Amino acid sequence: MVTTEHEYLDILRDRLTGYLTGEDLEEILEEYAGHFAIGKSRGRTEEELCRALGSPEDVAKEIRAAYLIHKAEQTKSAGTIWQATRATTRLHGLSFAAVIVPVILFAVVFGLVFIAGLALICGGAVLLLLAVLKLLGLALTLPWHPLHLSSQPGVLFSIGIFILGIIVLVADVWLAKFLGRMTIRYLKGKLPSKKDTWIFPPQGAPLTSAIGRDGAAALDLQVRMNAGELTIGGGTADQVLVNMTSGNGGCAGPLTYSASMDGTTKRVWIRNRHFSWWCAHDWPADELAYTGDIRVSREVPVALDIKNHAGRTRLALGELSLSSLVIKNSVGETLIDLAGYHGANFDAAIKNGVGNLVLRLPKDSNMTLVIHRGVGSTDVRGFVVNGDTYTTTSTRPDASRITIRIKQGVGAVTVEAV
Amino acid sequence: MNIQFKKGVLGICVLCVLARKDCYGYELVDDISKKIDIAEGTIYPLLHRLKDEGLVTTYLQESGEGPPRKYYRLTDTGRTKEQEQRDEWIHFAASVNALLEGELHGDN
Repeated sequence: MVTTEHEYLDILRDRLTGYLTGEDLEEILEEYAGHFAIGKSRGRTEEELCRALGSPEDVAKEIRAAYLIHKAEQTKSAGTIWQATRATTRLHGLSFAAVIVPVILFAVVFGLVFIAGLALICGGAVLLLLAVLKLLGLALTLPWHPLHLSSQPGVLFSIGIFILGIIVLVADVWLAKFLGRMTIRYLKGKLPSKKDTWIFPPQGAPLTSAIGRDGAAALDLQVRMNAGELTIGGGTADQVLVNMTSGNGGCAGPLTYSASMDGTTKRVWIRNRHFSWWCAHDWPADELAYTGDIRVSREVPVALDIKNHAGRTRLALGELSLSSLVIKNSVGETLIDLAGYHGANFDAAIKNGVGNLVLRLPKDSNMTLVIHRGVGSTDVRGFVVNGDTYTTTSTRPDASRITIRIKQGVGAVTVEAV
Repeated sequence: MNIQFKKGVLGICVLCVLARKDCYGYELVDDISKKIDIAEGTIYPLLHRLKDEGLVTTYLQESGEGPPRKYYRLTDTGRTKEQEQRDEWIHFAASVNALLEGELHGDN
């Protein structure tokens, strides 16, 4: 049992050294030293304070988990993901092996593929050099023959090998990063659990699915589309949380969904899972660009997270009550209509790649708009301008407070307070 | 009481106390541990996490005694989150209570 401040801080320092940067470590130790100082000035003894704080070993575990998840998010190196995994599994009393064995397997596989990619690049370069020398009539007399081929490979073949190596390398790194991100989301408990089942509507068009409310007090809705026209609006039947109609987009396939309860929040994921590039010869025929129409209940606050890779996105959210809004659109026009909104306060982040962005916002509310403009005109009407920040102020005491951050790539931004 | 229960609601408690007034670490820990029996040391890592998530910020302020104190203050996002989580909790707690009391009556 630790009974003095000195001992307590020593154990903390000992357990945290090597996990936190020097700066973070000093900051947290200062915080605890300050706690002791104020506690003592109010007549508590060091022993009392130590007991109330809890065992320094447990506190160190909490600190490590708190700092490492953050660090992994920032850097995503193999080392930090490893550390964050270890700290979190310990904190939750999970078996470390159950988490780390697959991680090691992945690391080994990715490492081997990485080496294979490097070998292809180097091999391709050597072959190319030999082929070029031969073309120049400078064939080298080597003690060995490359690849034991009966004839030496040509220039094109060598370049092919080289390019293949680059593709393998890039794909490997990209996939490893992707899995790293997934691991972090899993550690933060944000991935669909094993219990989630994906419902595939039967073939045929159009298809409608209704997702029941089941007593949920809030909705967490995530939509991921590959390509197509997405519309979202308010209004469902009583006790129905989400109504989904998906046009059968030929080879693009219908929307599928997964729903689960997380406390009193219903989480719904909607995906288009069968997108095939084989039908690209139809592009841009209508049958490829499928449509998704999603209606959301007005009765619960909704956290909306939408990603559309290519296609038009139209959101009529004025009737809903939002708790947060995240929109990412890669290519295509995005139209967000919040006119008449009088729901809960929320923050929104909108990222538009290529395409025009049109926002209609409720005039009678307290809005803050920050626009990081890209290439294209910006036209904002009905706001007070201050650099990149645009604001409106309402006189109503119950007006909604809305903060919107916009990152625009290429295309015009039109904002209107109506 | 089950430690996981307490850990789950600690975040809401911290946000709620900070919604009333800015606090320095000790004050906050003291306020919460008066009401909830929890290892006081675990509140500081939580504060750090809330700061990382952009829900609270810190600033230094001179005090009459000793060195300047680090005060925690809710950001706008934090304030929204606090309202949201408080509503959610009240609704949730009411549902749980209704359910538990319903069961008790069922036993009788």
